[in-house]
Amino acid sequence: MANGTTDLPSTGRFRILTLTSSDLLDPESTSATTLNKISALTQAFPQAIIEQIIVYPRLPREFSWDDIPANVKIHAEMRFYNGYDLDDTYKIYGVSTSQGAVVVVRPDGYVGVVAPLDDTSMVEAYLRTCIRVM
Amino acid sequence: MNVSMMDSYNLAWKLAYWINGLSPTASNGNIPEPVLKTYEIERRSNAQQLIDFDRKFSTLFSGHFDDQGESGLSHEEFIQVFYTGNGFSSGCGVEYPENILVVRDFTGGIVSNPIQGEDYLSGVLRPGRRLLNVKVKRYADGWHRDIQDGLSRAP
Repeated sequence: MANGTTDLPSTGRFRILTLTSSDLLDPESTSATTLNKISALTQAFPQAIIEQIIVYPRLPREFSWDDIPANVKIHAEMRFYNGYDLDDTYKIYGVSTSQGAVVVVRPDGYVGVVAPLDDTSMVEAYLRTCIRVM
Repeated sequence: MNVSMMDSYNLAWKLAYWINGLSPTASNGNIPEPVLKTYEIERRSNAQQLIDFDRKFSTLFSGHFDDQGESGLSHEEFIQVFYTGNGFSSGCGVEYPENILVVRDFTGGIVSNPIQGEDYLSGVLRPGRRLLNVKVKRYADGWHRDIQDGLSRAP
C-alpha cells in the first residue's frame, strides 16, 4: 500500500484559504485566533494533505512577522499574501475586509465551503467529510 | 473535449485519495465511499446541462428568430444561450449542485453568510464553482503572484 504521507505528488492537496479581517495585528483578534485554530485542526489530518494560504486586507500600520501569529510563518511563509495592492481580492471574492472568511478549496480548484472567520467548526466538519483523520 | 478533461480532473483526485487510503472510509473496503459517489452527482449534472444546452443551441443554426418564440429563438434567448455556451466552452461557468463536497448551508441559515453579492462569474465565492484567480503580493519577498500559483503546482 502506498505511503500517503510521502508518496503523493505536490498537487492533489486541499487548501484552506483564510481571508483575514483588518484586525489581524491584534493578538486577541478573531483573525489571529482563527489562524491558530486552523493550524491546530490541520494536525488531525495526514501531513502535507492540507495547505494553508492566507490573505490580508489593508491593515492599520506596517507590520513584521512578530506582529502576527507565529503559525503564519510556520505553515504559510511563502503563501501569505497582500490582497489589496494588486487585485482587490476581497472585492472580487465578495468578502468584507471587516469580517473576512475561510474558504476550503478542493484539489480540483473548486470551492467546497465558505465559512465565517469565527466558525472553524464548519471548516473542520467539511474536511472530515473529505479526508480520513489520522 | 474540454468537458471530458474536467470529468477526468474531477474523478482523479477522488480516486487518488481513495486508492491511497486518504478518504474517510478507505480503510474499510466494504463501505461505498461517499466522496467517490460525488463524481456522478457533479459531472452527470454538468453533462445533462450540456445536453440540454446543445439541444437549444442547435436551433440557432437551423431555426430563425421569431419574436413570438414559436419556432425559433427570440433575441433575448439567443443572447442568453450564447452566454451560457461560453460558460461551457471555457469551463468557467460550471457550478456543481450541493452535495457533501459542496456545502452552502451548514446550520440551517443560522450562521451568517460571509459572502456579499452574487456575481459568481466575476469571482464572488460560491461553493461548487472554481476559485477565480487573483493577483496577490507575497509578504515574504514582495513577489507578485497569482493565487492559483500555489494551487496547481508546487510553490
